[in-house]
Amino acid sequence: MATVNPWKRFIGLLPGGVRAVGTVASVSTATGSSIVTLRNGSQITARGVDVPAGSRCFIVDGQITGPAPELPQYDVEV
Amino acid sequence: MLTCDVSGRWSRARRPGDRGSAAPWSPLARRDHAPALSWQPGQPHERSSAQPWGDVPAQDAGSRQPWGMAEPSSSAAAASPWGDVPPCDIDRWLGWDRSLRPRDTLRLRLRYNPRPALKDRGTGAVFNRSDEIGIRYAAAAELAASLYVPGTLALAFDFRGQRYSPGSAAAVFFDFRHVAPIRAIQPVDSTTADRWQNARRLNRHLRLPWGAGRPKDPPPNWIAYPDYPGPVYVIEPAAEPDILETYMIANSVQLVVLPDRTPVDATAIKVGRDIDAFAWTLSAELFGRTSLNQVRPDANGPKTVELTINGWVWLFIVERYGQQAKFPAERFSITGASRTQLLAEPYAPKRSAVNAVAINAAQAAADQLENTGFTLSWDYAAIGPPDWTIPAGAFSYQQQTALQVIARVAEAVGGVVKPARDSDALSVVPRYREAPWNWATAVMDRIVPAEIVGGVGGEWTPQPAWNSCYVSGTTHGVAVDVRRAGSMGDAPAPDVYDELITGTEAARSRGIAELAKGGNQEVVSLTLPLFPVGGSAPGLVEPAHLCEVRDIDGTWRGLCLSTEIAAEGVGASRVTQTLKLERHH
Repeated sequence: MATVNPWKRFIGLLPGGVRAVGTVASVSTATGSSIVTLRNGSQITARGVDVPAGSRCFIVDGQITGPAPELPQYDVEV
Repeated sequence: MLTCDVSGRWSRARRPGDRGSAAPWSPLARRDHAPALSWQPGQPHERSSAQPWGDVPAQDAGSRQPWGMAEPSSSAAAASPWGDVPPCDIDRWLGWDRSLRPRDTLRLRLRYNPRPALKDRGTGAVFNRSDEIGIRYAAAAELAASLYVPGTLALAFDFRGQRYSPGSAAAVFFDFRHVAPIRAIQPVDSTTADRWQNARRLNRHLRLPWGAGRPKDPPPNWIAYPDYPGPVYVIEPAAEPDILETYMIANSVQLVVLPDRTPVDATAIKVGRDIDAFAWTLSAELFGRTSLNQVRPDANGPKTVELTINGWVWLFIVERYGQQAKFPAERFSITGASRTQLLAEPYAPKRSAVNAVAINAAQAAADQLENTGFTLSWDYAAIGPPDWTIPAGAFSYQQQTALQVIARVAEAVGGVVKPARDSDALSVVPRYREAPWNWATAVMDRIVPAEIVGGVGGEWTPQPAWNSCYVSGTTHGVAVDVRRAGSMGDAPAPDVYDELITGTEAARSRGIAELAKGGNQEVVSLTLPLFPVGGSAPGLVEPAHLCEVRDIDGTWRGLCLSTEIAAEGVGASRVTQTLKLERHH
């Protein structure tokens, strides 16, 4: 984003704040982590075992923060 | 009318069988005693009906016409094997003739001749036009004018120019009949005889060379769109700048303290705002401690100053001041911000809430300004960003000031908060009023000609060229994949998860704003004068304005990211306006 706002530019440099929604593929209680399939099909390992496999979850900076609902999907052309 | 004269006679009925009642036709006589057909079964004259021509020999392969006239190999056998069939009874005539005649033909004669005889042609009444434009006479009015109405004027008779005086003894007789003068016939409505009839049909079989219209505008998908039935909002186009040889501007800069409008002696004034900021900032240098004391905060809080540069008015609250006590260059500097700062930290209280019922986003933002004296304008119908419904429980905030909440609502749909310069108001406007890929046909807000640009700079800030963006709510709402029309959507922008994306129109607007961030772009800074209010265009260019820059090398369009106005000097200040435009390549 082209901006000249110093605060916005500084915020853009900071790490973290990556949010995602994925589907839990498997839960490993031994390691305390889960394998989550993201929306584009790639899989990541996220910390947290609270969400059962097959459910959607919120992921913030690699940590499962809670279950996510199924939202209605739309496609829009602009 | 047709008149049929039929005459018949009644005679004495005769008994059947007598000679008179017999049919008047005599028995038919057979005249052709040999009705047999005169044709016999045809006998082929030649059994060999093979093709009488052999192969056509090529006369000359190299000649221009490779085939010559074909000749039958045996001309004797080329004739048709059957000869002409001779008619056998060519002289025979039909056996019936007109010898039979009807005996009692009814006499029929037309009495009516629709064509009149020549002697009656000239007897029709012939009227010629006469006295078409003369004075129109009315017989009734003339009769009324000739009458004497008793009591209106004295009764006097003139006979041959002499006043008549009745005799004493003679018996007189007057004839008072009105004889209407004979005048030429005047047409009454002859000029209004218009006739209507069916129009002649010319070129009935000529086809129009036009077919059904097809849109040729940017979406090149050849889909016939139906007419747009919704409302049409007219966006005021940009004013055309005056191209002059010399621009002379008498700059006027005034800084006064409200509410008693005490002037403050200031110099080196800088006013600026960028598109992501919700307040204009002011920095200035003051002459003398007296001026500083006017604007220094006291027990009543910070002072509000009004800055007027060439008629453009800003209101600021002075937050900071400083002093540089170096003789002889003693300076007092102040820093201020727009009054919208009163809605943010540290002035405004922090609040936490959640909506118990469904609420519109514009209403939720306006509710934040309740009892603050500020007003919010959100033109969700015309220029956007759109308004949408937030279901109950989806709009929640914790320990946030009013302006933070409004900014968050605006950011959810790709909007920015734009403070009013000279009043306690703010508005939510879209960051990209038109998407960058539509800038070529969009209505601009300002036009900057190259004639007034005093300096140009650029900063290349590229981003990947995204063509889709996944915009989703989190706990409520919808998930929308916003995709550029005509693209596969194979280059997605980072996903956007926002709690306030609860409507597709909001997600669409946010997706446009996210997609507009991508692509090759640069931040171009332009330095131009600040024309006074009512003067030549472009005047003051505010952030989020779409600008058309008519450069020397070509015209391009961009989004104003920041505006900074500097008024330097004492007395006749030098006022410059520095713009930073986001230009997409």
